[in-house]
Amino acid sequence: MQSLLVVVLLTIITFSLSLNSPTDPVDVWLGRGDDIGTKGNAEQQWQQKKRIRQQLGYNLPVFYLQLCPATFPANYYLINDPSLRSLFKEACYDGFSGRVLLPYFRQFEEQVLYNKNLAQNREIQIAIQQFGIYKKFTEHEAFLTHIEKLVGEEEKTGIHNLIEMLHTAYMQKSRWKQFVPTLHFYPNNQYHIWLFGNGNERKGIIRGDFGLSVQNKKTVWSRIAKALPVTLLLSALSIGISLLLGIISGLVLGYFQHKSWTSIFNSFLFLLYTIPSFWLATLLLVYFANPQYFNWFPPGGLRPANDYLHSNGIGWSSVPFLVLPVLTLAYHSYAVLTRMVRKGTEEAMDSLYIFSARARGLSEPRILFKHAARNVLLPVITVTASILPALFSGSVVVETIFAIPGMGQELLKASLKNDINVVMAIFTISAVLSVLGYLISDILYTVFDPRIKLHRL
Amino acid sequence: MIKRLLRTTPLGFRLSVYFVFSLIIVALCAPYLANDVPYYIRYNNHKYYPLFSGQKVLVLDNGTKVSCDYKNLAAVEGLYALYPPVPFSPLKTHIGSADYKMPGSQNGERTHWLGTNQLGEDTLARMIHGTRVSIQVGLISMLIALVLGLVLGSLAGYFGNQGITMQRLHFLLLLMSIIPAYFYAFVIRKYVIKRAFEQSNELALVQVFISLLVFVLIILLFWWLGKLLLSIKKIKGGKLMHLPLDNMIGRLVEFVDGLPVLVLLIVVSVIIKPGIYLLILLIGFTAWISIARYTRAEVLKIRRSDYMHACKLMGMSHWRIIFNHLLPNAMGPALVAFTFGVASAILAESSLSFLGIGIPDDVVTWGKVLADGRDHFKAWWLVWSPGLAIFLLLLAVNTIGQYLRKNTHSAETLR
Repeated sequence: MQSLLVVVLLTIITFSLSLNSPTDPVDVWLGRGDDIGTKGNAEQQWQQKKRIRQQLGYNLPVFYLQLCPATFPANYYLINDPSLRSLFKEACYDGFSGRVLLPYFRQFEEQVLYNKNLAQNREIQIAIQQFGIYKKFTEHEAFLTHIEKLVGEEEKTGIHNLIEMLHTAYMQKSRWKQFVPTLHFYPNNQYHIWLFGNGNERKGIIRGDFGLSVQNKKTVWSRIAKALPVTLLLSALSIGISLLLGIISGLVLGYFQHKSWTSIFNSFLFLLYTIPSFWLATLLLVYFANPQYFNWFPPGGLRPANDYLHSNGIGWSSVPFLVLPVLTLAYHSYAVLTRMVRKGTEEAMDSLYIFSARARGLSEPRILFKHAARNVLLPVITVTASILPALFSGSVVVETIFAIPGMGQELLKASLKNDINVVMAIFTISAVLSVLGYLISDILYTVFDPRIKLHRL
Repeated sequence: MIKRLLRTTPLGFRLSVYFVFSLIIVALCAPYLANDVPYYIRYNNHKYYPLFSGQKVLVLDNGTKVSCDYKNLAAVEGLYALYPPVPFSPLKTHIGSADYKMPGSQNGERTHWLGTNQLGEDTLARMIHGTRVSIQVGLISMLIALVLGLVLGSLAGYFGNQGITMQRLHFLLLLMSIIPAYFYAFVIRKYVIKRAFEQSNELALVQVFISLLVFVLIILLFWWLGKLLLSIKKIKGGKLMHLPLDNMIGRLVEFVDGLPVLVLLIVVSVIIKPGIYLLILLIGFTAWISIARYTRAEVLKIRRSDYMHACKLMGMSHWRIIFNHLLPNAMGPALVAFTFGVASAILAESSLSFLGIGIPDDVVTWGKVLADGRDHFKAWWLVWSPGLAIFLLLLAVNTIGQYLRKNTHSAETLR
């Protein structure tokens, strides 16, 4: 229940973050950079962008509820351009009446920014950049009076109208209305569609549809289906290795706690616990994947280049590629696990049940691996479940350094392109995986400890 | 006292404390340690102090204007200048030093003690200025977390679920107050904070704290309003109930604990490109949970002690008990959590800047220097100097934390 709430809130946070991004997802969809409307037929471009924005649902409000000042109108999403929309919002928060300002912004968009004739006028395009009209509302009046001289007769009346509207907006600027809270309710919003679909092509997450990725115009699922097995394999390998080695070395270190050589190993563990993973990864690359020193491992990727011809994904040929990433992912959890098991073993070896086992004349290996280990290893299950999410964030770093096409890299790429659907899908999947991890650890607890019984979940 | 404390502690702890403090001093003095503006210039019996006075352009007495940096000043004849120990600025590229010059290589009369990167930026100067970011992120973010954690943890522990009783109407009013508090603190001030972030970082921090203050004040206002309303005899407030403060804060802790913080940090820093102060705030607002947990557990223990009963019997106010008698005794475990938190905050920041996200281009960090080394493996100095610096700083902080944990008995039993 708790983690479900976390997922819901996390997705809401991500959605509202996407609003503040400087990258417009529709531009990414069209494969364009940041420059808006400067090349080609502006009106056509605008129509195309408007159509795509409607098709992808980015023109809708983000969430069901919005708490905002009374000056901010409920139908603000009629403004198409996202940066203009946030400028409008800022103006409303400063006390301008949104009711008066909204038609101004819509006409401004239509008549100035996406006008066929104005788009070809170089001076006006320079003025758009110069006055910074996407950033500063205070510059709008100066900008409009500036371009009024430059435009032809056709547009002159329109722009004159705009200036008039701006004047009324300034006249009706309120001194107190922006301090009155209002709550807007939007039944049809982006989050709703993401959750339940819109009845047409979007089916919603409850039917397993994560939507489309704006990066390659394919389904999010097709992107993730490629990346997920890679990250899962990396995580499983590193958890397996760190569990195996951590338990063994922890038991041994705890058993020989009074020997002097263990203190050296303990300080080594402390170093291992502290060393930053990105530095270790870089060092490994420099010294073990470099023809100058030891060219034992390939520097990055998942398979030899010629193997990509036959299949993507992972095969037997990718084993040398996995060594360094798995090492970098595993060493930290190895240090954590060893320290934990060592401490537990140290306590267990001084306890009475070990004393009684010794008194019964059991052999030392039997005491350590049968009697002590059973009690020591129980908390390991919980810790392993809590390591899983940490491994996921670790995979972002490791996959970037070793150029592995997994979930971490996918997340980084998606957030760079403001591809919210992919980010949300990755968050949801990782949350589901960590919930599964806790569930499995609970079940394993009952298997290994007969004193614990699951009554209800 | 400090001298004796340092003498009786183990060597590793002492070395760590010295190392961390020397790095703090380096961070504070960074512009005076690595800069290509001289401390002192003597020219025709005139003396100038450009680094301290901050003037960018020097007007010499014969009327010529010289901009105050090494390249231009070296061209003036008969001019004596005293430079900082590292006469390079971190973000300036040097034409003669481009393409990964080795450590110890010369640029005119100056020496690159730690080499350069591809653009010809001096590594040592970048390392010295990068110290600032690491120390700032580590200390400021965890100070925010410490304040939050101590306040919330001690409130949860001191009042528990039964410490505050109120009538139902009063509770409802308090619950409702969250909406106006959020509105007046964060919604209408959204653009004020945003503009402050564009102007300067210090201003932005001040604005965020004003917002937090407004939030708390409005909730307090509703609390007093409720009291005032219920003191009128005609208004009936319903049954008496306990304010489940401990449960509420416990839920909040669980929620923040469930967040995948580093992943969220990555996504936030990629999507909205914050400066380092927003990063500091984000780390601070997610790192308080362990401090709150430790403090709560410690307060629960202290609450049953005799001197707490004595305080209550003497009729002290809750405020005075918490701040004068409870917190000073419950700080120990929180300090342990604080120290480990500093280490993880530094690690998070350097991971982010290593990946090249979250930190603006005009800020130098250790992670960025290391990222330069990743592009060119032959430049071992770019791999080793920042990596070793981060590693040693983390090692020192963790050593201090471990020593504190060993000597704070309650913290050791906790984990």
